[in-house]
Amino acid sequence: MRLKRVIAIAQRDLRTEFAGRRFGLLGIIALLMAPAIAIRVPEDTTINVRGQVPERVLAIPEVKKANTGLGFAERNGTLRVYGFFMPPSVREALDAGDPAIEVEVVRAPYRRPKRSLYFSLIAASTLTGSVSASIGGERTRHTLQALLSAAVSRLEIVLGKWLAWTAFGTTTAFAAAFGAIAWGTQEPGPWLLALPFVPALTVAFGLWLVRRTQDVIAGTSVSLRVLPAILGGAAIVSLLTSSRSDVLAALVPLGGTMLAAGDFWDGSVPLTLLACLSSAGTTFGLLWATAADLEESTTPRAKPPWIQSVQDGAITSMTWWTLILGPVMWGWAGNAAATEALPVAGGMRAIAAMLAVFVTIAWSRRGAPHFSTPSWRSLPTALAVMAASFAPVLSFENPWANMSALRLAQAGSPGLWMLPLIVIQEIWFRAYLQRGGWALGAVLWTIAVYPTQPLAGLVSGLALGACARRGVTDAILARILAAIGLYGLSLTIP
Amino acid sequence: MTLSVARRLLREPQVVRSVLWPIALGPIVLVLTAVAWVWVEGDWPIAVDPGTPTEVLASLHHEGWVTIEVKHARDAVAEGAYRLGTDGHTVFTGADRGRSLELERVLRERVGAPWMAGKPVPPTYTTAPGSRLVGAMGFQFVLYGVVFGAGMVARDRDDGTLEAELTLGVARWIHGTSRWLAATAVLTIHFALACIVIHALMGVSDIGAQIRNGGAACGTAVAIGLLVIGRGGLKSGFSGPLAAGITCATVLASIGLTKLPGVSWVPIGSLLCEGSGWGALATSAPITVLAIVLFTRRSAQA
Repeated sequence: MRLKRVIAIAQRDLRTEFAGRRFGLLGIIALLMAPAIAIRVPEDTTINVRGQVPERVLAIPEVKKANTGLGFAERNGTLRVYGFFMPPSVREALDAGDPAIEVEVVRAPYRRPKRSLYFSLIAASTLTGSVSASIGGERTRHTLQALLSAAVSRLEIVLGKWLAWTAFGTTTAFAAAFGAIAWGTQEPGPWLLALPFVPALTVAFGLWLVRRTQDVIAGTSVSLRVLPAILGGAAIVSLLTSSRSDVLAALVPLGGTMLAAGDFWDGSVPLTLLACLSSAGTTFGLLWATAADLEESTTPRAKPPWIQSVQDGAITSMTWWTLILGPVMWGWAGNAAATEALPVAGGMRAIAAMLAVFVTIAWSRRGAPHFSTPSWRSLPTALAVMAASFAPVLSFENPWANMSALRLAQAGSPGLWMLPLIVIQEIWFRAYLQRGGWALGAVLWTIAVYPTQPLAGLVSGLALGACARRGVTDAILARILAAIGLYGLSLTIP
Repeated sequence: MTLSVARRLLREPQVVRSVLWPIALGPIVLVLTAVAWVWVEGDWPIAVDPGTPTEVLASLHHEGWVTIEVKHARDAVAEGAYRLGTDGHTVFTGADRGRSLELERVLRERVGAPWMAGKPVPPTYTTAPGSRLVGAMGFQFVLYGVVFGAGMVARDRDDGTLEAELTLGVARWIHGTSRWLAATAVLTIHFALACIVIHALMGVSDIGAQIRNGGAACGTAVAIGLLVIGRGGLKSGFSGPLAAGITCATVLASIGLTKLPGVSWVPIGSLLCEGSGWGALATSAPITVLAIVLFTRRSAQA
């Protein structure tokens, strides 16, 4: 690898991107950074109160009578306080030194990243367009071929592009950081170490995403959709992980570095270094993978069937769980009336409609499913499905979690009145998802439809999958026969 | 010809992603937000010490709390295994807010404390938020309609498809009609799907009326696209007509925000107010006819 060539490619990329737009782009970035650097959010300690506020509460210096805020009312000789938060000073005033019930806050207060997180985020966001145009643009201009035939190695090309945009992003982030330090809105600290790793890993990820795009438009549509999700998702994963383990949170690539750059760990050098190392390793891994996969022109690559099945299975699971469990979330969050008003049947109808769309798209792109003539196989399969429906449902301590499990079990065994759902389920799962393999199809079926009744899922999935191998008709027939059988049983058995 | 136009539209991955993305992303984000709230302040079981008085447990169960006996409630909360805990005299919590105050209230009621958190008023359920969300999503489909209406013609003119179709022995008005029918059908079907999904998740007041309003809005938007494209193509004279079409659609939508009498008859505007949808459909018909007539006279030329 020759450093001179890497630097030459970096310079070329920057020259191409900034031709004629130098001050415009820099001006926009400066505008975006200015509020993050300079604005001081005043700490508002005012406590608004309303209603029949006792004198001892009004005596608190921060308290102000208003039309909003903590409400007070006398009811049957007892003072009622209405509000979501209970400020410590108000509690102290109300208790007057003799609390009837003690409240002990036993966990550390919620931590938040500081404003330096915005510097790294804005720096990473401004790179989206440039990174997407980087490789796709070379293909559009047919210069990638020229570079490769000039004996510039793939790794040198990728490193040069990475260096260009990482340098730009790092410069932007550091300019904002030093501006904030000079303005007095943030103290310097180990977070400065983590700052360059956010644009570095973002650029590496962006280049990996667009390595096979044909042109600038394709590259832009990929990076604009995926990069913001990656940035946000990584930060959220790291934030959630930090409630269990700071070390694990620091190890999350990109997410850990974003938190470190946001001084989340209040100047902890070991955690900051851990985050930087994790992101550095991921960066070089991605650059290596990008270079290995870089070609002059892209040829459409057919996905292995099992990868397609897993992707389809993930989308199906998200759709299924969202539509069946969504209404339960309202009750779990505090609005039981909403859950009661939204029956599982509505979710099942919506799922049938969504699966119909998936089947239509798959039908037009991957060909029609194979419908065989009905055979005797549907009968033993129907019996297996009926038996599986009696498998136990996982139970939980939480009644809402139990309700979720029961709703999923109900949706997994639709009655005859949901015939369209039964048919479309079988076409989607057996004719398309099962193309990745019979066993894989059964696992995906279990995860999507029977996550809280895994035995039922595996038995029915394997049985239906086996009988669908010669065509999906038998599987559809088996489900219909099972629905009739279960309905008959429900009438005869109390 | 309508089927062929519809098939060409659906074969483009960008088109399919565009119409499916709001249907998938909206509900998923909605539910994820609810999950995040449940994670922070949801109805979770609370930890109780082995020595917690039975009267306290009875009061908690009466109020609907689920209690789990643990070795030390304080440690269980400190370790993060439970969000709330109590020994009957002390509330152990991660933050002094929300459900912690409700738990404290139950304990304070038992001991006759002089003050306590007020019992929260149970939230009610209405279909209003779901109906508003459907209206907002409908406007997204309206924007797609303008783009499809104008873009289909511009693309077909640039790549020679329009010229080839004009040589077919069909009446010239069929070219505009088939494009309008195909785009409106694709958009209306996907909007109906969005309505079904939101109805399952949140409830919508009158799903039939919403779909009718959506159909009228999509049809009008596609008609606007056909009206504004004129003789433009993708490579020349597309951005001006597109901007004009989107502005027109936005003006119609903003009329809906005024909630004036009769606004339910304004297509696109009717998405944002309560109307049966029949009025909007009736009004969108002459707009469609006008669009097809003008398209036939101005645009159905190579």
